[in-house]
Amino acid sequence: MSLLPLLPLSVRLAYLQVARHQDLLTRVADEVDRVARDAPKRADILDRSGRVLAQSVPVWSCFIDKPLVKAPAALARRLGGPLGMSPDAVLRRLREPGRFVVLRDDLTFDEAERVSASRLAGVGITAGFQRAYPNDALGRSVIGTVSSDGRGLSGVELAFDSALVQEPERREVLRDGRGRQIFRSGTAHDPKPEPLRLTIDRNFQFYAEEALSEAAARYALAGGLVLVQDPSNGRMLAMASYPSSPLRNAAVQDSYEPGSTFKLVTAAAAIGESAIREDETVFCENGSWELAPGVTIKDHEPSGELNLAGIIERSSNIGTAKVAERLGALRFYRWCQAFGFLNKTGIGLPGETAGALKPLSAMTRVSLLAASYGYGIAVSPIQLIGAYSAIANGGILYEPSALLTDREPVRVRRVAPEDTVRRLTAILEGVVERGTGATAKIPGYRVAGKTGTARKLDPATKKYSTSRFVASFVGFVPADKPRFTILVVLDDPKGGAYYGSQVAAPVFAKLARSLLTLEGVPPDRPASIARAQGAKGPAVAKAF
Amino acid sequence: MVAILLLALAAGFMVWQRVQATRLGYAVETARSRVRSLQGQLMSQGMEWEKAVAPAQIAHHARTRLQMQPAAPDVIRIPESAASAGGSPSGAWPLSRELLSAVRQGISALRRPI
Repeated sequence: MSLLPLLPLSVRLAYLQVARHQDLLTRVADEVDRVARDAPKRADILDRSGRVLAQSVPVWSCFIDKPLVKAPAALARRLGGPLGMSPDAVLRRLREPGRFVVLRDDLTFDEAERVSASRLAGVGITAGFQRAYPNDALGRSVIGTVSSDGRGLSGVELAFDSALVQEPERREVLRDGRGRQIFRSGTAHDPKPEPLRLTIDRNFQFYAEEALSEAAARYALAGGLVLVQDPSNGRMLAMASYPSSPLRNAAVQDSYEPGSTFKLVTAAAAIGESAIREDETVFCENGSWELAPGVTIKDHEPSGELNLAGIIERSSNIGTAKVAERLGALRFYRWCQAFGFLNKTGIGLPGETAGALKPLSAMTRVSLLAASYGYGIAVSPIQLIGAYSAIANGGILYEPSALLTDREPVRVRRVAPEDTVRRLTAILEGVVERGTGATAKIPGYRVAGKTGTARKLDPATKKYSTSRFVASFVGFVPADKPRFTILVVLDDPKGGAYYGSQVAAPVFAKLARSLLTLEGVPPDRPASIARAQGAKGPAVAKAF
Repeated sequence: MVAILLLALAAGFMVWQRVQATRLGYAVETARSRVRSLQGQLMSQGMEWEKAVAPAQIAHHARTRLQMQPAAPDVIRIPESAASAGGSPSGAWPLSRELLSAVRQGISALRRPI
């Protein structure tokens, strides 16, 4: 009898536990169960030595849940200091429409800690990630950029977006009325997702950009680029462009008329097809050759009889055109294709261009001869440096790569037999030793390369300009065991000097010297340094 | 009476256990949150370090504070014997490479996560 008063209570308990069990469980779950998602992280982008090029760093946002704020003026006074905002500014933001107001979304860890420590009602902190580039603009045309929601927009960030982005971490938590949480379960992620490693070397990139920006300032360039490639495997070591933009990589997206640097292909075809003997000469018309009425090919200096080496060393357009005429369009076209022109290289960066050349069926005598010395043909810088790297590499063309992976470099094809490559290398060395590329000389090292000076096509008149040029130099060093192939392209240099030999070759020499010193590449011709020192007296070692 | 007492004790223990579990749950979640914050702080500091060792920064400090100049080929001294032989100056370069390697190892050690 004494337990009788407990009977209604027992009945009520039984009703709640049995009859309404599921309903109440659902209500509790709705109240306290929460799924928390951490902001998604992007993987780091590293250079070939593991140095950071791009990283996602945490940032904290401070927001206000306005209905929970009882005294806005007091809140503004207390919050202004830790946020670095004036109380008036906080009050103005509080008057904005909507329940939530984000006061700042770029707080540092210390600022976020100070705000959290103030324990103000209605003030919350959330964590997120922001893409940061510790080297500022360095290599940004290659790295690219991301959108505000952390997706790749350009460059490597876009090309490898799916590999870089990580799924947000999902955690199931219990949350009480005061907002405190208890972890229940979740998907555990590695706090640092697997980084993406590029073939770019941060130091090489710096030297390349520095050399390019100095040239840009000196010659008031409209644009320019400097590429460095490892010829033994096709890996890109530096890709600098001016003006630098994270939204555009001129090295792969732009094409241009290469001018005399394209004579390499004609020379390779001539040697490979035995179109001209080593000792055979071609009459270079003393600098002016009228192909047809109104079509005249001119050289920058008059020449008479020249052999192939002389034609390339003196960069004779007429000599090159006459060699191309012997080759014919079909064989010339085949060699262009063999060197990787007219097709995308497969580097895997967004927006790559394949370049352009008239189809074989539409090629006339004039267009063939013009193409033989780099006019009427458009190539991308990445194609051109690849062609020279193939010569530097004994005739093997590798697919250029920007991503460092464990897989073997992709060998595309052999572009020329070894004896052809040896002759070509000797000719390119001659260009620097005796020809137009003398300003690319580096004391102590054998350099092989070719200058180029192309007139720019005026889009208004559809004629080649007589005052605007693209100056270039491309070469490799040391010539016998090449470590680097370097391409320098300077768009519209001003101030009187515009030849590739005057403006681009010195940039090549300066950059190559820096890279050789940086990598500790021993001179392959030390006697020349000793001679130079003998002339100057003992060198005084400067601090470095 | 003893049964009721035991029952009350058991109930009390269960309540205590539940409270402790909840308290520990809060503590664990607070610790997890702290770990996330510290990881974030570590990443922020890592970024500061990367900014400090950016080539542009190092080159700037080397040139302005330490008055350093980039090495030019004419400061490379070639031993007479190697120069006259026309061969590679063996001895000098391996030493440079060893030094370079030691410096690189030192930098790698500094970069290792703590």
